[in-house]
Amino acid sequence: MAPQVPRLILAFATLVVGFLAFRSQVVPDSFGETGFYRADSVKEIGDLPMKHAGEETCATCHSDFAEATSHVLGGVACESCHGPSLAHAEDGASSKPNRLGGDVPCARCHEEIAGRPSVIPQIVLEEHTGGEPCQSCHTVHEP
Amino acid sequence: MDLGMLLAETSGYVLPNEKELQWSVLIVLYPYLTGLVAGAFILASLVRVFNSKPVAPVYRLALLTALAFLICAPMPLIGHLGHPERAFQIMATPHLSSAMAMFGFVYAWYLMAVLLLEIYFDYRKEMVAWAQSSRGLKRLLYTVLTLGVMDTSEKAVRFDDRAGRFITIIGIPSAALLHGYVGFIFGSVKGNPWWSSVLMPLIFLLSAIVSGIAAVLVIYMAINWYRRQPHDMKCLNAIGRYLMFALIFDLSLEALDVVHRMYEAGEWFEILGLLGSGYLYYTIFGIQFFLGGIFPLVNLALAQFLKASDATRQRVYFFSGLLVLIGVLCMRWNVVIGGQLFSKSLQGLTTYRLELVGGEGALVAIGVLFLPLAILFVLAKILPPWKAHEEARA
Ligand code: HEC
Ligand code: HEC
Ligand code: HEC
Ligand code: HEC
Repeated sequence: MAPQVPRLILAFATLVVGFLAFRSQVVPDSFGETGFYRADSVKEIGDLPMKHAGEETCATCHSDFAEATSHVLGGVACESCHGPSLAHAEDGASSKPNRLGGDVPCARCHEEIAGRPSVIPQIVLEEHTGGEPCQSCHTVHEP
Repeated sequence: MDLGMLLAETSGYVLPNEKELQWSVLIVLYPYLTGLVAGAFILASLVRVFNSKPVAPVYRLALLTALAFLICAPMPLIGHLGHPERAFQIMATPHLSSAMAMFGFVYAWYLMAVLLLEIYFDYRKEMVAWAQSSRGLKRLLYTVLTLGVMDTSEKAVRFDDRAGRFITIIGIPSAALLHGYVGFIFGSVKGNPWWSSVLMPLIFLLSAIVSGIAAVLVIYMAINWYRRQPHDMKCLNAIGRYLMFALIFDLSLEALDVVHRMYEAGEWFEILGLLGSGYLYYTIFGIQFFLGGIFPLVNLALAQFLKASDATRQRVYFFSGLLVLIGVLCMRWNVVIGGQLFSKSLQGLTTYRLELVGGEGALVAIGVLFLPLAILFVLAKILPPWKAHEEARA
C-alpha cells in the first residue's frame, strides 16, 4: 500500500471522530425524543410565567362589559386591546391593566391591507375617519 | 427599514410579509462564490482528466482559486443568518428532507474529499522538497501539510498522480453537484415562478463554469503582470476558447429558459414582464445578456478568428473575463433579488434598496467578495502554483 493511504485514513478518521465527539457535546439530550426538536423545550415553555388571564376570567368581575361588547362576541378578546392582565385579574385593586384612554388600537386590526382576512371589516383610514379619532363616532366596546 | 418608506415604494397589491426582502445582497453572493469554485475546478479538471495540455500552466492556480473561494462560500450565509455559534447545528442535527440543511455536507464533501485531497496529491512531492530545503517554522508547516509522508520514491509519486486523477474524476460530478445543488435550491421553490424551473440547476451550472473560467483567466493575467512574467499565449488562447464555448452554451440555455417561459406564459407572465422591463431591465438586458454575455462572446470570437495580435488578444481576454464576471454577478442578482420583488398575489411589485453600511450592506458584500483574493494571495505564498511550470520551461 502506498504510504499516503494510512496517513490519510488517519487524518480523516481524526476528523470524523472529532466531529462525532463535538456532535455528542452540542446535541441536546432530549433532541429527537418526540420529533425534530428538543423534547425538553415543551416543558420549559410550559414553565414560563403566564401573562394573560383570558376573557372568561375578565368576565367574572366585569360582566357588564363582557355582555356589552359585540367585539367580544365577534371573537376579539379583552386583552388584545388592554394588554396582558393576569396580575390585575388576580388582584384587581393593586395592579391595573392599561386603561388605554384616548390611545385606541383600532387601526392595528382595521386598517386595510390586501393580505388581511376578510372576516375583519377593513377601512381606509384617511377616507373613513375624516381626521377624527375613532371614539368620536364609535364606542370602543360596542363599535 | 421604515415601513412607510417601503409602502411608498411598492406598487399594486403586495402582501405584508413581502414588502421587505428577506434574502439580501449576501444571498446574491453565495451562489456567485460557489459558482466560481465549481467553475475554477472544472477548468482544472480539463487539464487532469481531459488532458488539455495548453491549460496546464493554470491548473494549480485554478485549484487554489477554487479553494480560496470555497473557504469563503459559507460566509455570506452565516453573515445573513447571524448567530455563527449556531451555524454548526445544521450539521450536528441534519434534517435530511431539507435541501438547505444539506449544505454543510455538500460543502464538507467538496472541501475535504475533493479539493484538499487533490491539492494534497498534486503538491506532495514539492512540499517534501520544500520541507527538506527549509528550516524552522516553514519546515514544520510543510511537514504537517504532507501529513509526514516524506516518501518521494517513484512508486509513491506515481500513486500521487493516479490518486489525484481519480479524485478529479470524482470531483467533476461533485462540482456539478455543488453548483447544481445551489440552482436546485432556487429551482425547487414551486411557489415562485421566477425560480421554479427544472432548467435552473443547469443554468446555474453553466454560468458557474463561465464565471470560474473567467475568474481564473483574469487572476492569471493579473498575477503575471504583478510578477512581471510573460503570459503564456497558448494557455490564454485555450482558456479564451473554452470561455467562448462555455458562454455559447450558457447563453443558449438562458435563452431557452426565456423562450420557454414566454411560450408557457402562465398567469405569472405579466408580472414577470413588468419586472423585466422595470426594476431589473438594466441588470438583465443591459449587463447580464449584453455586456456580460453577447459582447464578450463576439469579442472572443473575433479574437479567435481574426488572428489578432497577441497584445490585442490579451486585452480582449482580460476585459471579456472581467465583463463576464460582472455579468454573472448580475445574473445572480437578477435571480435572487428578482425572485422576491413581485408579490405572491402576482398583482404587485416591491423594491430592494441596497444599503451601504450595516450587516448586510454593500460594504460587507464587497468585503466578502474580495476576501477570497486575499486568501488566494496567502495560499499562493505557501503553495506557489507557478513554480513547477517555470522550472520546466527554464
Ligand atoms: C377579581 C375581579 C377582576 C377581574 C377578574 C378583572 N378585573 Fe378589571 N377591574 C377590577 C376592579 C376592582 C377594577 C377597578 C375598578 C375601578 O377602580 O373603578 C378594575 C378595573 C379595570 C380596568 C380599568 C382600569 C383603570 O385604570 O381604570 C380595566 C381596563 C380592566 N379592569 C380590565 C380587565 C381585564 C381586561 C380583565 C381580564 C384580564 C379584568 N379586568 C379582570 C376587577 C377585576
Ligand atoms: C377593541 C378594543 C377593546 C376591547 C376588545 C376591550 N376594550 Fe376595554 N377599553 C378599550 C378602550 C379603548 C378603553 C378606553 C375607553 C375610554 O377611555 O374612552 C377601554 C376601557 C375599559 C375599561 C375602563 C373604562 C370604563 O368605562 O370603566 C374597562 C373596565 C374595560 N375597558 C374592560 C374591558 C373588558 C372586561 C373587556 C373584555 C370583555 C374589554 N374591555 C375589551 C378598548 C377595548
Ligand atoms: C384585535 C383586533 C381588533 C381591534 C384592536 C379592534 N377590532 Fe374592531 N373588529 C375586529 C374583528 C375581528 C371584528 C369582526 C367581529 C365580528 O365578526 O363580529 C371587528 C368588528 C368591528 C366593527 C364592526 C362591528 C359590526 O358589528 O359589524 C367595528 C365598527 C369595529 N370593529 C370598530 C373597532 C374600533 C372602533 C376599534 C378600536 C376601539 C376596534 N374595532 C378595534 C377586530 C378588532
Ligand atoms: C366620522 C365618524 C367616524 C369615525 C371618526 C370613524 N368611523 Fe368607523 N364607521 C362610521 C360609520 C357611520 C360606520 C358605519 C357605516 C359604514 O359601514 O361605513 C362605520 C363603520 C366602521 C367599520 C365597519 C366597516 C364595515 O365594512 O363593516 C369599521 C371597522 C370602522 N368603522 C372602524 C373605524 C375605526 C378603526 C376608526 C378610527 C380609526 C373609525 N371607524 C372612525 C363612522 C366613523
